Amino acid sequence: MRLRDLRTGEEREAAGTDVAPGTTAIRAGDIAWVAHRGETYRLSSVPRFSPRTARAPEDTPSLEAPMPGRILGVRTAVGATVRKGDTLVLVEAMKMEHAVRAPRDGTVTRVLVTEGQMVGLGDVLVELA
Amino acid sequence: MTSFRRLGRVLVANRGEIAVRVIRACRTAGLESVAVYSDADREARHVALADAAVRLGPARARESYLSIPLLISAAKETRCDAVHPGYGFLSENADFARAVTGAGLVWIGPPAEAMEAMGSKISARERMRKAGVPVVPGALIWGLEEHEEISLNGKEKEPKASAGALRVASARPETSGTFKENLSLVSSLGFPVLVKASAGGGGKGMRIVRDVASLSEAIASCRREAAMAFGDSTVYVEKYLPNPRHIEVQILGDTHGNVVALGERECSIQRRHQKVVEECPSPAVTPELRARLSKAAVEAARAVGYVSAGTVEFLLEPSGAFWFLEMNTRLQVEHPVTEEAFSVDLVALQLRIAAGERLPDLPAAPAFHAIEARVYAEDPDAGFLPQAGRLLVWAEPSGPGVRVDSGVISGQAVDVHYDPMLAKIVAKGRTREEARRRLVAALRETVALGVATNLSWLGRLLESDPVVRGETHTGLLETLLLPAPPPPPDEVFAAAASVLSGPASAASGSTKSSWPGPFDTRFRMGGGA
Repeated sequence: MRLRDLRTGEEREAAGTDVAPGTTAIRAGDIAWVAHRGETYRLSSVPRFSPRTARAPEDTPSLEAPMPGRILGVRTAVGATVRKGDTLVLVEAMKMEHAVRAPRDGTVTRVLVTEGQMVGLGDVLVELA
Repeated sequence: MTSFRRLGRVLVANRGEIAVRVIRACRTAGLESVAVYSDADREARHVALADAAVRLGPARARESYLSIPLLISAAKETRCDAVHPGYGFLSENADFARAVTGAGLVWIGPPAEAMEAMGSKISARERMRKAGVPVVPGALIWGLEEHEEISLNGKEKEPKASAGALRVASARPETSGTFKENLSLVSSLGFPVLVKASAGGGGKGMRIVRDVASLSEAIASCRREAAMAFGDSTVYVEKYLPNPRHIEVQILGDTHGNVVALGERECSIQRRHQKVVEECPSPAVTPELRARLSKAAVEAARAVGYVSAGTVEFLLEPSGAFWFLEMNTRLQVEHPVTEEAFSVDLVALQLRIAAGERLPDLPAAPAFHAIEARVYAEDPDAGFLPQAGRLLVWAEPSGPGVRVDSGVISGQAVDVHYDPMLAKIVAKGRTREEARRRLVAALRETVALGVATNLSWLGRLLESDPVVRGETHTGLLETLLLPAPPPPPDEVFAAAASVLSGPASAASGSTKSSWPGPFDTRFRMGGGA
């Protein structure tokens, strides 16, 4: 199967033989977690017939939650014109507050969250045009 | 030892590793312990270890670990005699201390008055100044409860409740006057300044502000974090000292008027004002400087009639000048480095003090060097964002001089509602270098799968030149560049293919979904699996 290391993005073919001595591996959904010689790795399999749709962050139409947590505040609204770096949403998790900022100039087309709502990692918060 | 029995049964009003730590101390002392838990912690380690456990409420801390009425009724229900608050949560809340004593229970901590005197950073600074302890220069204090609302852009008033508006108070003479006068006082300190939560601790809410324009947002968000973490949104501003060392002195006071210092801890390695690595003794502190720091710390503790374990924090400049920062009126997260360096048990001493015993003779100087690394559920490859999920595999290190204080077990959920610290790994040695090498080895031995952690990053940090040489300061992590972790070798790809091939388990989906448990996934350890 074709595998991708999630940190480096490196892809390689590998056969699922056995877990070598000194290595611990466990599957969590689509992700393999591997501990080997003091390091931890995360890998996923790469689907053969669906080439991944790579996008530069500047082109991303949607802003996603950087971590699971609670929406502390929404600092924008549909139709608002935003500048790169503007704080659009505040997310709170583990007693820390994180600002989700506009990756580029644009117009807000959708706001999918409200204050107080719990969100998961990667949930779409705001969409930009 | 016999007077321990007066405490009988102890309610441990906390969770995670510190609840485990206190439960162990109780058991060693022959005391029973009662754990408390929220719905998120039903399977947690502290719940399993205690002699009994009481459910408090839902996962949100305000409805569980921060609820004074729930904790008091848990203590009464289980006929406890005493309450240990741990650190964080309500540990520095004087109302909680009063509620505990008011319910006829023993509070294992300082008197409520001492907590109040030190709990407000504003009044603490004032008391220290009066007691002759040096305080951070040029600090300006802001209360934010009363008076006018003014735009911090300094031009025009904004409508009420707008994001940039603040209530500026004049609780103390030096801050009285209009907002513009206060603003000019802040400016006279010279930027950058530090915005802090008065009731704060652990850097929660703290912001460095580099210019007037950013002050408004910094104060507003500091207030929100402070309100969330401490239930008190009072904020103050002080001069920011560039790259000092953070040095803190452990003190102990008994109910007979004795106060002693138990050396210092070097806690300069911090990110976002959260300590990451701590050690005892500090490589920057000579016996002469230790004597001066200890004297100042003991004076600080005496000034408020302190009892139990506490910590007086200082900023140390390269010149050897030091400034009082704050006093933490509780057991500190990093207390194990003092315990290992001095061969003492601070929690046991807290229990003895609470039982009315006199302080025993304690070592005057550390016999060992100890270093602690905090293992956080955070992703160093994604801006150190806190991570949540299920910790599918957790294996702790051991060996000579290695100590692990952890609150997690394999298969346990790491919840977004609480602090992301999973464990503290501590190593001691006859020298600093021996301790450091042991800690690096211990970190490499630790396995955490299922939730991203800073384990590998901590190992590389402890191998970096400034840390090897002991030349650290609070700004170190902003500039330090560490080597990247190695790319995965063939064995790692093979192991991943091995667990990802084969039938999808019941738990298919991404890591953010909830998991039935580690045994529904494919799990192979070593080569013999």
